[in-house]
Amino acid sequence: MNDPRQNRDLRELFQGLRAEDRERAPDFVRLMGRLRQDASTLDEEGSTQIPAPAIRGRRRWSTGRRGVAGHWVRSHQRWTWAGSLLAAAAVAGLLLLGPGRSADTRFEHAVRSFVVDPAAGSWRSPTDRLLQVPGQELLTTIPTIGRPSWPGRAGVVPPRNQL
Amino acid sequence: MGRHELRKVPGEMNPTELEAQLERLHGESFGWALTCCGWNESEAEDVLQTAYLKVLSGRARFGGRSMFRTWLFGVIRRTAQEFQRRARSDRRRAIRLVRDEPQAISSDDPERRLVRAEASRRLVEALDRLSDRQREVLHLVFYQDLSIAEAAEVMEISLGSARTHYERGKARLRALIEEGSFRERPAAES
Repeated sequence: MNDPRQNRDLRELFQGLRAEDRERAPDFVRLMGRLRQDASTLDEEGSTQIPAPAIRGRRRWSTGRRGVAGHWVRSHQRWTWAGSLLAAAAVAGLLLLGPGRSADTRFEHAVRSFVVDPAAGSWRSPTDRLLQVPGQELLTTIPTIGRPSWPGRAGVVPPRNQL
Repeated sequence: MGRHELRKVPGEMNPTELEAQLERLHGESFGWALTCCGWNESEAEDVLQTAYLKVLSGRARFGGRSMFRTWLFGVIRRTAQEFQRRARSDRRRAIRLVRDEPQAISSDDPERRLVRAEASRRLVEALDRLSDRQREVLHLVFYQDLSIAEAAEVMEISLGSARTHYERGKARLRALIEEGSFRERPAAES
């Protein structure tokens, strides 16, 4: 796919460009000097050390001293704050919603209640018996006209030989 | 250098070593920063400085999972994207035509330098008409001599995607360069 023989023309063009860019590249020492200067302006102690736990911890800087390093640190701090706020909001949201609000948990609850339901049908209150009074069947059956004295259950026709 | 690059775990890299690595790759890093910044030289320099600051301050940490160079290029690319996001409102990608000034280029014979400068100018113009992804993958492969897999790593895309951008970019770049040379020939003759 990247056969050098096939792409010799492009490779030569790019290498020409590379040679030119190298000649135009800023001097590394000068660049590092500028970087150190920018970094040290952020450090009240005037340290020229780049390793920047010193920079990382800074929350104050001179507004008059602008540079790439300063700009980057300031924007980075803004993002750190924004990130902290977002994280706090996310934690609060999770706490408010609670652990049982997920779709999976709701599904588990539904299944569990479905399993429990058949048992609920056979359950009776301990005081249910108090509602059963003598002659209660009279309230739940239709009386038969003209058959008042038969001692059997109301509404049931007695055998023919007992009439 | 190339394939035998530093692969140290982060704890072993002290600032002096990091700085030495940055210096060693400085020329290539500047070329990559230029590409990421649409050949805006001053922006490329600022991007490079910010990327170096990230590296040296420990904001960007080399995890040792890749070559130092591909990791550094990733940092530069992300830094350039941050710059571009910030300046999106007034950003205008323009080709720096400093390449039209061959007297600024030193070393070998003037005629050869003129030819090279002209070829580079045409290449930059053609590259500027490619998509970002195509331009990046071609730069990483042809300019930085990375493999397509390494380019994919720098660009944070899949290998398949990088291959597609590479093939399409290559074909389009060739067409644009040819088109440019045909277009310019009559003007040069007149």
